[in-house]
Amino acid sequence: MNAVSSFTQCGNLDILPAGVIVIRPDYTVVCWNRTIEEWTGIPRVDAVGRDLREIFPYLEEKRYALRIQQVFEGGPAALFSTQFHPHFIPAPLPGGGSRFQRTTVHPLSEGGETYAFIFIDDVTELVVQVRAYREMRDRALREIDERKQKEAALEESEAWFREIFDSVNDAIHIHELREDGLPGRFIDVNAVASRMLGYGREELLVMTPLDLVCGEHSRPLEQIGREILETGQAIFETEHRKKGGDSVPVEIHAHRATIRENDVVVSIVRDISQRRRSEEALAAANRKLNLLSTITRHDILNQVMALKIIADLLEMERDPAVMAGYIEKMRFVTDTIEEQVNFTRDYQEIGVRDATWQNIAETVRKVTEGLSHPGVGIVTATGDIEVFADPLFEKVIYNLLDNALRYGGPSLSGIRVSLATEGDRLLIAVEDDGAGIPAADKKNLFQRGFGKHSGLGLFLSREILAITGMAIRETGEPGRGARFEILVPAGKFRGNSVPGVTRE
Amino acid sequence: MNVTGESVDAIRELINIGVGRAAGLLNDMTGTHIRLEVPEVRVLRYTDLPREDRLVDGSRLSAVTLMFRGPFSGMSMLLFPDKSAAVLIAALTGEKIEEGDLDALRIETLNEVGNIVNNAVMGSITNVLGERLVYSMPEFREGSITDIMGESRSGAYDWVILAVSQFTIEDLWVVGNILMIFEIGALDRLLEKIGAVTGTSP
Repeated sequence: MNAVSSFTQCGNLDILPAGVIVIRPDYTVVCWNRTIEEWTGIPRVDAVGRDLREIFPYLEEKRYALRIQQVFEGGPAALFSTQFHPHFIPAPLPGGGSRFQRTTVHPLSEGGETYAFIFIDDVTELVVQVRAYREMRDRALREIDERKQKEAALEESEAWFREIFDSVNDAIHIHELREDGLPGRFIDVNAVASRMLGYGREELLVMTPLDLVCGEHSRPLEQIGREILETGQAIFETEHRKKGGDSVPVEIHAHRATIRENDVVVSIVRDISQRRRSEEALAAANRKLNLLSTITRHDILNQVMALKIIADLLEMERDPAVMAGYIEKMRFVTDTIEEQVNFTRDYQEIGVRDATWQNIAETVRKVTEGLSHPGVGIVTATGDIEVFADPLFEKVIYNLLDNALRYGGPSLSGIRVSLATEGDRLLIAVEDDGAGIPAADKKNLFQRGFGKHSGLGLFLSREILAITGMAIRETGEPGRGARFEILVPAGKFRGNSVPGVTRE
Repeated sequence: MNVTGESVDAIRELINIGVGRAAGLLNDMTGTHIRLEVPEVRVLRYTDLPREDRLVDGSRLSAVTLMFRGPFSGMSMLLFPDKSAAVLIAALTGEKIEEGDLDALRIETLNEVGNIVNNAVMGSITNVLGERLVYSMPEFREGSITDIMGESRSGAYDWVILAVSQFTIEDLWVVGNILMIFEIGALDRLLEKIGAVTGTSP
């Protein structure tokens, strides 16, 4: 049995899981296998021997005819893809719709004749799967795209808020809130917080706000915690310690918030150093104004009254010796008025100019050059220490040395300026070996109007030192010399030669 | 081997006849106006293929190959950079296709386009020369030019005709390459036959 008769009877082609049609160059159907019968519903006996173009007239179209013709002319196999030719032959599916097909047309020469072997694959399942895959992939891509857009929007929003977060003037602390209302660990801080405290962000994130506190809170901490828990906010003041050791006064506006389902506190932390300085300056100005007002109005008027009385007495007096005494008193009163006026001028200067770092030894040297101290040695042992003081600090040193020289008495042979520490404070001692200060005078030593001369020098000194937080006291032993001690708070002195202190 | 300008002109003309026919078929099939031109034809050594700029531009290529045997043996191939293949399929089918997103159905579609072009070009040559060739089944291949050529028969190949083919589909412009790779001696035989038919010698 030759191939042609095989085709005619379709022989083994019936067992193929694909549709097979074999045609002659005139399109006469030679074979119509069982699969084609099943797909088309056209029995083999009705198809074999007929022109395939009668059964499927569209095959006359160029898109088919030219390519099939090529095959008959000995050309390569022709492929008809599912995309361009989804249904090469009509083949309805039992449930509706048509089978998707992939078709190849092969040349076959046998017994001197050329045949076209049309091989049709049912790729319906493949098309369904590919379409499902495309749909799934398109949906996944859409979701990825949407997610990307959301992420980009979120990133943009986060970047925007981070820019605001980092560009405000105040520090922002976000920290955990403990059940007792006290602060837990930092969750985030802005760039200003790092700059204000000198700590890096990562360093702060392992700390709690309480690790920073170095001063008293304006209200008890427990009360602040209760306020936050009960009202959701609290405003208070405290001091924070910087990494370098200095402290900074701060005002904190704390607000309770829920961020990413966590109970947190968002605190706006404002450096109030400038405000504190302004408040202190305002208080000092008020004090000065009151004092100046008292001096001008009360003290000077007292002296003027005294002058008038002396003038009246002088007018009635004829005894030259007594008159000379009145004149002497008038001179004394005039000097007092002059000193009071000078005091107002000096006092007016306090705090006017900004405090500066001043070298103690250098200040003592300058003062000593302007003083006459025959037979009295002045020793300075203050190393390279500097203090942060009002520019009138030099006047304080002058006053202390001038007092020692003026009131030290005949036993005075030397004055020594030295340093010590008291806790974290620096102690500057100005001591002499003169007469010392009587115990009874010590209590009022720094009061205005007390003293042998004008009574303003030590008062003025205390005021000048108070500008930068320094204090002064007298601790000498009466009869064995005076000893004035200036106490300088931490942060207001620097240098490497402080005994027992290595602070910058 | 001496390939004269006349020979190259004759080859270009045969290929142009083929691609012209292929463009007609594609027009008819897709209902889209497609122009297919071959502006450049060159003959080069098979061993120079991996260094050919046109073929290494896109590291990943898609190819529809057709092996043929007979008076002259070798392989005909329509070759596209991956991106161009996707653009071409998208233009022909109206689908939105991302670069590198060729699934089984789209590969089959590209296979049909390649089959139409290869068949038309081979048909044009064999018709004019009156020769019959035996063809293998068309095959789709992907990868670099070296991957596509494979190792197994590389020693058998000698010369290559490289025809730059330019698809113009409405306002879209896609460039692919038709390669005809000849086994040793096959191009000489082809040129002899062209010479005999056209009255020119290679």
